[in-house]
Amino acid sequence: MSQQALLKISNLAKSYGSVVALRNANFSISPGEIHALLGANGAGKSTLVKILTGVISGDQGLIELNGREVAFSSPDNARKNGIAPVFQDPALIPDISIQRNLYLTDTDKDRFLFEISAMGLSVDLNQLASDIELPILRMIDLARALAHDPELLILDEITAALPIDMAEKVISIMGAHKARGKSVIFISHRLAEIEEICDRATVLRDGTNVDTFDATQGSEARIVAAMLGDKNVLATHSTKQKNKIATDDFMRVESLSGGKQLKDVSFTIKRGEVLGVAALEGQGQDLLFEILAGASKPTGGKLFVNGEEVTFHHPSDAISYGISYVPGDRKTALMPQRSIRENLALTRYRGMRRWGKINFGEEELKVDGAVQSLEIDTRAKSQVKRLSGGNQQKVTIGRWVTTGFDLLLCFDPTRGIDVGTKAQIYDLIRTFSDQGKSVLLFTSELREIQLSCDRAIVLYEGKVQANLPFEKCDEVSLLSAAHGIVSK
Amino acid sequence: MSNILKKVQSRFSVAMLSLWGILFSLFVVTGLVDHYFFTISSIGVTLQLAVPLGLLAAGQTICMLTGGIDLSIAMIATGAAFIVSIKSSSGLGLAILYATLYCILIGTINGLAVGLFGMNPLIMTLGMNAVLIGVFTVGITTFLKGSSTMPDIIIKLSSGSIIDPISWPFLLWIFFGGLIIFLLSKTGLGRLIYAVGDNATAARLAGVRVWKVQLAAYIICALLGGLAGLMIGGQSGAVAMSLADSLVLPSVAAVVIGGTSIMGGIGSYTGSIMGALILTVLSYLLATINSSEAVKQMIYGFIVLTLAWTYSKLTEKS
Repeated sequence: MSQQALLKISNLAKSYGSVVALRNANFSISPGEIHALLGANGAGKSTLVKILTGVISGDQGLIELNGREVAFSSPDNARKNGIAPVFQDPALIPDISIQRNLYLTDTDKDRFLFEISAMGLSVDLNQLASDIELPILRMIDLARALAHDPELLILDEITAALPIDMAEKVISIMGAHKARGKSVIFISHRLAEIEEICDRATVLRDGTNVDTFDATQGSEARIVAAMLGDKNVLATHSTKQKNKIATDDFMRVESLSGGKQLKDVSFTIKRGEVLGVAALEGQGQDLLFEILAGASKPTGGKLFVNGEEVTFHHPSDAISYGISYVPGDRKTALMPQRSIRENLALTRYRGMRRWGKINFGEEELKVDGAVQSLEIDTRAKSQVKRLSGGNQQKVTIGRWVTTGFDLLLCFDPTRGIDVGTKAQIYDLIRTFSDQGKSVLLFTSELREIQLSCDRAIVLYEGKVQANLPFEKCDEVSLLSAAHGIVSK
Repeated sequence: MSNILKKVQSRFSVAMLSLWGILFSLFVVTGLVDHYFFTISSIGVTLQLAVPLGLLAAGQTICMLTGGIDLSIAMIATGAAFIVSIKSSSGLGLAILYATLYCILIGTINGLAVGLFGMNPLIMTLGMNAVLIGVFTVGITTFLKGSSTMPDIIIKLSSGSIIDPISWPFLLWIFFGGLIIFLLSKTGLGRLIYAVGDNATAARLAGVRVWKVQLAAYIICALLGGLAGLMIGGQSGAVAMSLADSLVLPSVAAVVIGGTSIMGGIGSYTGSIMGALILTVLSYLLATINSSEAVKQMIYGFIVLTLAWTYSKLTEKS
């Protein structure tokens, strides 16, 4: 790869007030290269992507495109120069149709539809973006970027929200893009994907590039070591030990159904048990969690907590029975403009009896306890929106640590989170279980089931397809059950 | 030197300092135009005139922090003043009780419509204002017949001076202003007001019954509106249908200038107090200029827009 670089970045830096997001980033991308950009949460990946795509401008440094110095004034400007991104969060406006979203980025409708059908999907252009499920939205975002036929495609954690089949599709699309002599910057926390598809990888730590190497040679260990620096915690080596589980049920779900999405779902969760839920996207797991959390109403079936039948009209009903919910989308759980403290303490004041004067001493004790046990980085504590994704996720879980709970409903808590933080979250779940608390854990990464759960149920088309003991929670069994293949 | 600056910065945000800067420069300019303005008694009168706007802005701050707005505040204020003036013949206590019940009633209707039935707050409260105009227009010639002069004690409380520049209304403002600041920063309800405005979905998932918080916000706003109405009535001596009309937009402007987001979730009453003082001094300045009412209105509007715009730019950066 001695030819001229397509894109070269030198000494790029960016600060937000006193918080340094990017300190000194240097790397280059050749034509026809798939380059992985790696780093723990808060390492500066998203900031770098935003600068490269004209969303924000850097404080210092040089960006060269085909040997010519450039500075992008807007995403539109970057797109016209051949750089098209797919951001971490869907970049479609929810309340307007897909077609109108396409107008906004000046995207050719026919090219878009061509890319969509090449993915094996079909999309109704008149549908509102808000009516479309997250994984499909990600694919629409990707198709929109591809429709501009960019020289450089930037994918920021696109596979994080995707089920396995779609993630594989993205990988093959990247291969095709490369085959046409074009380049990709690929950001992902799934190390297997990096090794499978990428040519080279650059690791960022604390806003500086610390290592660049050929991804094929780069073993998982090298990537992890570079990402974590001194902190040698390996998420993949988290030791899962079967703990003693009490025999009494905490919650029993009987023939639960919800519209067309959930049909006749029954299972039990014991005290101190971590029950995994595995499913491909859209098998009813979203609704199941919402019903258990009191956020949606079932159309049939019964719920029992400690043997007593319960009906939830509002999330506060579930909370009063000790059931807490960590939703999959951090944006639905956090108050972005408020402080870490207010976010953590929010649920303490839910009842009218707590509307009076705040006991600040007690609040501080609880909040500090959560901050410490979850190791939340409080550098940008005044507004939660300034925290990295992993720290935001810790805040959503930490809220329930401050109040206490018996059952934690955790929906894909490690999505888009770096290995170090993932390890912390697994540990946390084990700790909850050791304290006799139950956890219902849905995860889109099947490997996590065996890392953190005692047993698992698999949902397929709104039904419980399989009920697997710990020994059978290997990826093959889970995956085949998730595809509706009956296991024996 | 830089250490001192840092200490000052941690106490007051850049935004708050710039509000002080604007207020101070307006104060100086007004004083240069009208030398009488720099006297103690004139400052007392200005503070006293700022009280009704400050109280209306307090209610508006609470509503806007939840992501709402209350445009029916004009007729809530006017209505409360009418009720007190008419019913004062049967005892002041009873009159104030009636006015309080009236405020709670209107606040409850607004709050339930917005919180439980999902009405847009702008439309709901604007509609409520129109309905109330109708009710009182008919009312004062039929079931609400009576005196339109305010009772003496209210006149004293709304314009009586103690020692210049301290007046009774100013003391009332300090008392209620302190309560509002306490409510927003030191109570559970205050936390929920911010939470609901920042992300109502998140608040609901955390177990908060969002409609109760909105209901409380509109009731508190209506009560403060009623109190402001009595102050305005007391300062002008008599009640008329257009009593509080001219203060509705300034009540919103004061909150916005003070840095509260119209989308909710961020802001403070301290900012709104500064906004109310700035707008009051600005009105005084315009009143001293010899020009037609239309020109004054234009200048006023222009300055308010400029202030709101620069302020939003400032807070964006910090």
